[in-house]
Amino acid sequence: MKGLLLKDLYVLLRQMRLFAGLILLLCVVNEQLAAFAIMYAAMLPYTAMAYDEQSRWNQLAAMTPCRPLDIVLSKYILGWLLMAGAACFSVLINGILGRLGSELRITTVVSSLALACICLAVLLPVMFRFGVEKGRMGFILIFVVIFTFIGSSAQFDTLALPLLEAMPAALAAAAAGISAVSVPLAAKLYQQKGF
Amino acid sequence: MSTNALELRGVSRSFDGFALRDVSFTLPRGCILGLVGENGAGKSTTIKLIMNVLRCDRGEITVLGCSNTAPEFRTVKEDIGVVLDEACFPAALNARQIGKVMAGIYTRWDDALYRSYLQRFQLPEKKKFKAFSRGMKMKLAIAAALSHHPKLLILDEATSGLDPIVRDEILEIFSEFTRGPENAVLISSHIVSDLEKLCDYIAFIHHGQLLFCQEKDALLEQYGIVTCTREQLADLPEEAVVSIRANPYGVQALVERRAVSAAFAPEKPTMEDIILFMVKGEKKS
Repeated sequence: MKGLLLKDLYVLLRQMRLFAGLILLLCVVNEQLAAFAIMYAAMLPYTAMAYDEQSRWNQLAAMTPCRPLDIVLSKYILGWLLMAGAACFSVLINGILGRLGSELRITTVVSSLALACICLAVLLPVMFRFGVEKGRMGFILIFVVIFTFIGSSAQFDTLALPLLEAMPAALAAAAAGISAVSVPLAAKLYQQKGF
Repeated sequence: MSTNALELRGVSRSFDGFALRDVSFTLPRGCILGLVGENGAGKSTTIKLIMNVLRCDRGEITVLGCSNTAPEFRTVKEDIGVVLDEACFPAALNARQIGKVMAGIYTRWDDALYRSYLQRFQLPEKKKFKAFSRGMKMKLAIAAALSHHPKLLILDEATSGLDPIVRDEILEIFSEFTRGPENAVLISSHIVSDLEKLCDYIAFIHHGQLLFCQEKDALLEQYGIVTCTREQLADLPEEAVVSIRANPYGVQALVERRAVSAAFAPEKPTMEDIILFMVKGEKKS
């Protein structure tokens, strides 16, 4: 597991540096964009999977002592770590800018984290089964649904934001439950895929 | 402890349009077995079945004394080094990073040994993998496969596409590896001349079937090639003739040496000759 995570972090090193700059910019522009930074972090495991497919790493990994569950779980853990990192960094920047508590609430950050975890849990099994190229279609679909729901920035402030602030515990519980189902499902689908 | 590094018994697996049927062979410890066959014969499929990447429809596989379907096989994989036809490392990593990744995967990873291989193969530690030539990539894959002290090395077309100098260097490394009495190598290739230099045993797979698995030296002693005219062909005992190939100047027959008279002066064949006769030749009618 450690080797698999390390590989993904090395592969994403450049993206993570750019991403850190992006979070800084987003948070300076609008404190609410921390939620988008967290959602972007949820996308980075798909980038790591794309690099795996490009290099045929999974063919070699299947020959090592790594279990299919290890290979799958490493992508979930990567996503959780990157999302948590994005959330902490956003909170830190907003704290420095004096916006924490007033314009950006911790409850919003927790809810955004939970929503991003739910997206990850829904999409990773699809990516593992069908590959990143086809899985990206599912990703685009989810974003279309989310943005249709959110609609304009006015709706974000009047509809989505109060929802995020009111339901962090419920969303976190949903994220935990969906992830608990998603991980073994993804491992099974990955094993069925074969090489 | 089993004396065999690898045992396949009646292994079969079907796909759409291809089937591997009833493959059985044994690789003793301390030996090198060459798995030869044309493209699409089933060599890579056999290796995937051995490593349990694919499941057999029928048959049993034992690797280093352990069934490959047992939960303990995961631990046995620590003792197996694998090199595929392409080095499957992410392009953005360098050799040092690849070493750290592999150290996180194999519990017996030996970083000092890995770095000594990098030095021996003259591989730069900080150059990105994507900038390596094909020969350098394969050398890196071999360095990684050898650096966790494996007992069994499995190589799937590891020398394909390499120039003769690099191939020779790599074959020398494999030969060194089997100087350890417990170490064994399974190498698949369609470059028969490489296998003839290196291997103790040759297994030939053709269209998913194992046509033979024998000691290389015994195989080369068993057969001979008789060059003659069509009329002289009739003088050869029928049971001695394995296969015939015609050419504009006459006929060549692959024969069992012990069944023909020395008067026919059968020539010593190469492994490639034997395989070509078995695949492309005709039986004497």
